[in-house]
Amino acid sequence: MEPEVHEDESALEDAEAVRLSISGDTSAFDRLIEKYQRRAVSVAYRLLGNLDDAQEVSQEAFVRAFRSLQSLQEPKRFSAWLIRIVSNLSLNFRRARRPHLSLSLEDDGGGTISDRLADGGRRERSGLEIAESEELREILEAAVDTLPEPQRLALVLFAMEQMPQKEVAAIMECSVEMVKWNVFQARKNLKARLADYLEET
Amino acid sequence: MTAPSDDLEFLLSRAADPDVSAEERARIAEAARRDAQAAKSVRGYERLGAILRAFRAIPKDLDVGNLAAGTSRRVAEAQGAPDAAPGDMKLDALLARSVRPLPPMDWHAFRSRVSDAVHAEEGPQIVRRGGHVRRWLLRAAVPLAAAAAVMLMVRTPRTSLVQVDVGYPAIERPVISVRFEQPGTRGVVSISFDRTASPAGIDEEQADAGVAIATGTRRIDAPEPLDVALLF
Repeated sequence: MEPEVHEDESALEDAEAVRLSISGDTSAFDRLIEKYQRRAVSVAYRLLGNLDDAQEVSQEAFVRAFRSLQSLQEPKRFSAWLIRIVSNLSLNFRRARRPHLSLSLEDDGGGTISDRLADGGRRERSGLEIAESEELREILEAAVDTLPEPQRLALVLFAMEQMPQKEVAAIMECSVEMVKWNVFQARKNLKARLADYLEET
Repeated sequence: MTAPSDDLEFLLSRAADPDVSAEERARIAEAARRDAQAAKSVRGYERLGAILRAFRAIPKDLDVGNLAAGTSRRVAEAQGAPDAAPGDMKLDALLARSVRPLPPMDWHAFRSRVSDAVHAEEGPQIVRRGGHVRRWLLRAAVPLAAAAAVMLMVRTPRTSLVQVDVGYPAIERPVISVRFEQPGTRGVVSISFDRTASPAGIDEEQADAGVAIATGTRRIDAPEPLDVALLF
């Protein structure tokens, strides 16, 4: 139960910081920036795959949040609201870049990444070396980026960022069951695509 | 050995989740003990979980303090900006980095193609509103035969600020963006025009266009203000 107490305290601190920010105390919003900056950049980076873009989007998200603070109906849920803004901006930013992604999928010397995804990534590999290899990184990048957006977002927030499902549901504005379903579908999808890499050696 | 059922597969996929209950953990262990395929599946999901946690993890030495200072500065600027509206975003900065300008467009041909595609599916429903801003909401199927994604962007030379009806006042260059991504998906084309822009380079019939955005990626079930920021 202790974690919930901490969460409540944290949420109350956020609500107070929101209240102060609305009243003109920008240092209160600075505290929110400090508190959530790393999480915001992390989520954006996992969705975008580019650190510069992730930082840009995160900054925009904070600016947007600041300007919209008065519309936040539950100040205690500032963090979920902020991460929702970060997620939306990241996904939309990424959509705008999609043509570039398409090119990178085709530009691949020994068979396209798409081909490798289709055949389960069959390549010689050896244990952890593969987990850290450029090849797996590329395949994983492509596999994650081609997941449907709800699956990708649920996977990033839950499986990568390790956020509680309830919080992920609040961010995605859906039920916990829907979060579970999306995470499962994403995992099943990736497991099939990366089958050979996931086998023991 | 047979592949696990979907229900069992779902359970097995949660083997390494932090919120898995004791009861679920016991069921996973029992399934893995009785079935080699299930055990293999558990190990696969555990390995996938480890890989995903390391996937695109931000560098530990990322200077978040410096980043926070930059963010604070931008927030302060936003606070001091005149006529700041909720949701206003520096779209141009994002757009400039993410989308390349489109060469001169044959708008008649383009409109004709969109029109034909719309009519091929079903008759469009047209909603018009008075005032300075007119909105056409075309509810139609948006087929895309050729490409997986087509994004067209036009930036006109005019640099005056444009107030669009969605509350984003500081789009320095009027933008026209059209994006269809999902072949055969039913969607909505929504276009906003602003008389104050009158940008050059757009045909005469659209001379009052300042901002026109159409998207096939978001379904809008009822006429509603376009959230410009969320389109990008």
